[in-house]
Amino acid sequence: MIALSFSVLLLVSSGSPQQEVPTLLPSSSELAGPFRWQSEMLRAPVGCAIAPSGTVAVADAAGEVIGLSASDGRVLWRTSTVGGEAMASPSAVAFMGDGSFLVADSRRGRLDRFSQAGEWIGPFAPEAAVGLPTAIATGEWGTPATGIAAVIDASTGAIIVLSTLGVELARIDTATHAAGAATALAPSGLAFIGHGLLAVTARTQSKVIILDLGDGSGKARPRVVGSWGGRGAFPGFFNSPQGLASAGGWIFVADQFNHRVARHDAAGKGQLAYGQHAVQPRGGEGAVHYPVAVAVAASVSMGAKSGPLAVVCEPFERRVQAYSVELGPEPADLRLVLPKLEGVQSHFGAAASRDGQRLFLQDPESCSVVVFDLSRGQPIHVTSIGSSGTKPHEFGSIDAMLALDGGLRLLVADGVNRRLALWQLTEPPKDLIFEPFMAKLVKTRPYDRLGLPEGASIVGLTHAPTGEILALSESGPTVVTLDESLRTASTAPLPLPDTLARPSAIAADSSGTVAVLLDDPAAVATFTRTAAGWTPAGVRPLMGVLRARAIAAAGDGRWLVVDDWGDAVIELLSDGSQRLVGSRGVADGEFWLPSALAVGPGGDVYVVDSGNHRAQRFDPKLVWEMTFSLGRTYTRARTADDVLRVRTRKPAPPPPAAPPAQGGPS
Amino acid sequence: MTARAKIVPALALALCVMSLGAQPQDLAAHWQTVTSNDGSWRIEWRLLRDSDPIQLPEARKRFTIELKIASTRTPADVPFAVGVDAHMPEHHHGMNVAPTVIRRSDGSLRAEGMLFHMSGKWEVDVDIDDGTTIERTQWDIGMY
Repeated sequence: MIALSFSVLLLVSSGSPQQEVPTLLPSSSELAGPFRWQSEMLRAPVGCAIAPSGTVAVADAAGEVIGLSASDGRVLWRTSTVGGEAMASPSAVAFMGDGSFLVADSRRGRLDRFSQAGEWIGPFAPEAAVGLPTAIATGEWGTPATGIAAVIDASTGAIIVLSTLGVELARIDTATHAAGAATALAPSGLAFIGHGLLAVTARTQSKVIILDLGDGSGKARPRVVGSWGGRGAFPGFFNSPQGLASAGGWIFVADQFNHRVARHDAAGKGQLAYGQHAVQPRGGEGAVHYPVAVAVAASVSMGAKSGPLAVVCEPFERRVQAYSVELGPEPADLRLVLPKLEGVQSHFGAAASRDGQRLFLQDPESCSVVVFDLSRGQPIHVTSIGSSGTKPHEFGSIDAMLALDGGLRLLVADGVNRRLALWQLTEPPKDLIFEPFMAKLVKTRPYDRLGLPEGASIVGLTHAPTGEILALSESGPTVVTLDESLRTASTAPLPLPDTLARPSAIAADSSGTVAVLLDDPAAVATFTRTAAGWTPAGVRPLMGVLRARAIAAAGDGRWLVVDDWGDAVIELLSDGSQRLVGSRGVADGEFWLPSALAVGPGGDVYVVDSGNHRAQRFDPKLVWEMTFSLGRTYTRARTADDVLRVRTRKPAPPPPAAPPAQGGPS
Repeated sequence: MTARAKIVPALALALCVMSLGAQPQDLAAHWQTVTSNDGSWRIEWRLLRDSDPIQLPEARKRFTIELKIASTRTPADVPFAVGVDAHMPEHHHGMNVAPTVIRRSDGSLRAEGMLFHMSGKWEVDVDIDDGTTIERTQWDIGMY
């Protein structure tokens, strides 16, 4: 390989037009197959399937629609209702053998069946208890072969096996698919890879497991017969694997934070990966950005030709892309293209907190916290905290953060390792420098010592004016009140209104009023604390908000809410009115999937603009002041053209001429 | 306490320090003290190889950390559980082995089977579980 590269350099530098320049070995992503089309008329496509006829079905959680497209991408049909009811976050689709298809509607906790033409046939498996269906796959088991469906219930982590008539045949609990692992797997994607064989992704463990469902007679219990993975970038490793597909004897994995769709055999071997990491947001036509679902069909008619087709869902880019997929054997030699895994980038996620002169932002890909010092005007990156793992000083996930003690302490809610972690930072030095060892772990407190229901997680943290820490658990929902040393904890239920929405964040204002954000239908429920517990003070629906993701008190009785699917910040005024700030875009002051916010003591507002890989600062009246990321700050507002021009890199200069040969190889 | 009573311990301490000062190589082999990161525990520790105190571990050779843990808040409190580990913060990796923590009859603990497989700065982490929170104590060992 080294010899080949050297000979290429020599031939190029000779400049002879007569000589044929040998090409490099094809890369692992080039071999995967060419891009065909993409659909951008979507809000958050999270589930897809391809029928043998080539019809593509997509579940759009934010648009709350399901749709069918032809194999060339033409939209055939869409609906946002099922049996007269509005959909609520449809999450998955799967075709049955007769051409009909199943739809999982996650927040309604329902499965429905539609005909090939899109007519609603009726509810599917209404007797089966499925709290939060997030993935479906169809396949066969038993003798003679019988069609079945498998569904993930994310509320319990169970996988439910159903007959084609919707009768529950088996329920595989977390203890079974964990197969003796220290922590239960959180299944996120499903695909049948053979007769009675089900591949399952475990997102938080970055693994794929293979389940043998048995023979359908009830005599053989489901068991794990294989697994591979772990967090990493090399082939066979994953960083947050999500959706799965199977065709031609290959397993395709939507490897979210590695920005690729990986192809492996049933033993985990194989190096091909679809797509290259989009260098900049909105980069498409083959570049993949946070894929979460994939579907593959072995043979689909595409005009005059027919062949394999893959579709990939990227809710981060609000699109579906289609590829001509390769199902043949892997070449003996290829050039690996690996995603960059190490190091913190400006991939800010859905947690932010500020206290004093320190701003803490989450980086989901490296599973760490980025710390900015704000004392010099522009935010300066002074340290990063943690990395991915299970040790006490590592994070499995960062679901919520709370800066304390003027930014000298940070509390992190880690739902994967199921604990609160309290960190201590040193005082800012006189001369600001990047100090990698500025933070040290103080202590942790496991969730099972907080009096929470089993399996419950913490989704929000806030600081009450009394000095106590309030932790919001979505289960119940419940509020845990802790002291700043985490030693004492009391738990009390929160009387929320009856709604399909889930509590997504918590905030407290200086008067002691506590606001709990409900995601969709979006609303703010306020409470005051009395001796009897949490007393409701009102519920305020948020008009026009698609999904409420974060909330903060902004003083003067105002609340600020981030609408990630709506690409806006909502200001709730004390007189009951609301004002929308921002719109979808890349220019300064615009947002793409904003996910978190933090308000400073002076009322300045920091909004995490996740989809544009940056954060923005606004003054107390929500006038844009600054856009920043790691190492860059802009204080003069740029148009979308300005932003995209900066991001467009010039082609790399040609390599320098090779030095003359100094003798033969040694 | 009388003035004489104050002087006697002070003299004893001074003699002790002088004695230790005469043999600096032994000083590091004796007990050292560190407080946990939230101030709840005081830990005395020393390094052993084959039950003999040592100043520093040697690369790729097993050693033991002996620990005495006392509560700073409630003297009667004893740790519910203790975990001992080590990693190299500058290299982003830990040890290739998992030590075993043994509680001895005198209440002290031994983390046996420690092994630093390369030179450099190692951070020793002792996580003390009081049944409610798990508090970290840490110190560095520079092995160059």
